[in-house]
Amino acid sequence: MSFVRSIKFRFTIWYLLVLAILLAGLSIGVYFYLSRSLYRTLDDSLDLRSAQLRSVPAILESIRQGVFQEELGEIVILYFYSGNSLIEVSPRGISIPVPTEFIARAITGMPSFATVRTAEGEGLRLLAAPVNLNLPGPSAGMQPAALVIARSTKQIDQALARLMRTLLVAVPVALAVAAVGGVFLARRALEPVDKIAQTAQQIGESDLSRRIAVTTEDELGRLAATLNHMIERLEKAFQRQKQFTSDASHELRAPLAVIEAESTLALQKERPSSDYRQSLEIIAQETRHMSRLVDQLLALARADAGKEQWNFTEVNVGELINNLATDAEILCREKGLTFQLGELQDLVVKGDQARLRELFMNLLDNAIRYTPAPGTVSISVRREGQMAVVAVTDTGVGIPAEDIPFIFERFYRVDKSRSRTEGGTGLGLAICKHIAEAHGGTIEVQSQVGAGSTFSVWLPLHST
Amino acid sequence: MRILVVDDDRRLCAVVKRGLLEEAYAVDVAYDGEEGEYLAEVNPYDLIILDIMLPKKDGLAVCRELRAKGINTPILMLTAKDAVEDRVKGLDTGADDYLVKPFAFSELLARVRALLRREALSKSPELKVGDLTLNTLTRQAWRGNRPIELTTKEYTILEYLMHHPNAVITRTMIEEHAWDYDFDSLSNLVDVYIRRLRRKIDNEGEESLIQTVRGAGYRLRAP
Repeated sequence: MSFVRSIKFRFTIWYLLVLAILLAGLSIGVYFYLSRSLYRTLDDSLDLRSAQLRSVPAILESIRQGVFQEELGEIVILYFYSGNSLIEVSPRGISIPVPTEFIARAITGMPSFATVRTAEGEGLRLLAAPVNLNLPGPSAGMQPAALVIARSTKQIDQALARLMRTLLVAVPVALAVAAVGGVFLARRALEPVDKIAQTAQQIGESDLSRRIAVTTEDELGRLAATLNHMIERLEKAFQRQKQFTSDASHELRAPLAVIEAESTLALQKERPSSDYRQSLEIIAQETRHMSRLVDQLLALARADAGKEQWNFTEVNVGELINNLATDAEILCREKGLTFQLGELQDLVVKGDQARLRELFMNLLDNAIRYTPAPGTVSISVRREGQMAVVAVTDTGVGIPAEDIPFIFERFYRVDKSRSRTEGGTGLGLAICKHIAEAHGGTIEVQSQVGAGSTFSVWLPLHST
Repeated sequence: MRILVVDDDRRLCAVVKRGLLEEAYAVDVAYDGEEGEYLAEVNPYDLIILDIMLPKKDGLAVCRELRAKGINTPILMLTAKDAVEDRVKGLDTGADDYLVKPFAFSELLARVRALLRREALSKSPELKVGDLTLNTLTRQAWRGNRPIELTTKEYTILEYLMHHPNAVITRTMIEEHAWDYDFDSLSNLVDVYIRRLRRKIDNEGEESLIQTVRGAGYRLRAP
């Protein structure tokens, strides 16, 4: 992962951008506030001075005569009309570029401020205020005039320039420091994420039994815990898969081992034909067992892949069982068992007829397999609330209590050597459970060792 | 030679037992680890064929415990697992050889013969005591150049005697190595077979090879 594409980088960039806007805003604010307040102070002092000068006629007169003593840093100019020409009187004869309309406005009685720049580039703040001038001579009498007071803005300009210089240096420095701090903070905050990602990658590549160390209870702790939970489930799934594959290969190899041993033994030397017949019978039996096993493995693989085609119709369970009874009876008789057809209620469920048949046939097959002669295998259909219950009962060997929780698992066998000898594949009950559950039903077993077992399939009734 | 077969697959056991009986071995069968271990402890087998995946106690554990108890009978591990680590584990726990299922019967027999030979002093498939020769591969016997026809049981007993030349072999030892546990030890079957063997081996004028050790048993005398 390149740094530019990392969260750390983007996090820092966004943080710097926001900080830069904030700092710029603040700087501009400070600059303008200071500038305004400095100018206001200057204007106030101009106002005060102007009022002071205007209130004393003798001072005005001295100004008019050009003998007034100005204070340091100030320029006082008096403007008035003599005839049609505008007379400008300043004590030191200093001329400054004062806009004419600015003076005209003041003469008509409107005071106002202005900022001008001298030829030397020095800034001046002006206040023009109206005064009444008592003129001697031919045009004697009171006459409107304008008193202009100017003070240099040099100090204000210098202060503002200093501030500007300071900000132009301070803001970038602050941003640079913030950038370093931001990267540091982002790295600190995201370091656990990097660690989690690294560990998770190692776990994914090599060893699912490892876990990410959860040290905190914050968001990252929760993330780690969530990942751990996921890894655990993955690990279990892989273990199940591994176990299943190992079981399946063992189960497939067992009949192969018998077939190869039997056939190579038969071929060792010349034998009477009855020996060959016996060998071929054993081989045929093993082949049947193996093809059954392969069929069931394929059925389960299809179920796992979710690629089963279910053909749901209304199925009368009582009728279905009744049709199965003939086959079951033949199988029972062959083994010297009694087959009993119990009460068969006509109950309709929504189901796949062929798969339901497979389910009940598997259960009957199982019952017959684990019931020694002379025993009894029976089947019945009854109603329990909104469920149809099919019960297959035998008087067989029974299942030890500690094995019951596992008997619906694939390849789980109570007695491995016996089961294979009896022709069981170890998959029948797993398939039964799958079919029952695909119909929204359940399958359960009650059993007592030596007394027999009852498998009950509960299927929801079809509501009409 | 008496062999114990321990495997949970009864049908495979049946084939193996049948094949081994044909080759004149005495065969006992156990279907789980505990039974196998018990049989191996109480009977003096010449070879144990042991599956790894067994109910109750797996083959590796059985092998380890037998070795820990000082039972050094050769063990041939028979397993459906073909992973290298399983074979290594099997050999490391004290097995002498392994065979991966499925196997050809001739290979099983060859390995059985090899393991039994390893126990004997000679590494050749031919056993020789004096001018008596026994080929354990073809199961043919000669006295000098004269071939001797032997029944299966006679062969078994002679092979056992020839593995231990000059040693005193008791009747019990012969019973234990030539018959499986169905054998009724009260009968004097051993004596009958020894008598038959003597008749076949020693022609008139030839030196008697199988001697009776009074009160003890028999000895195959090497000149």
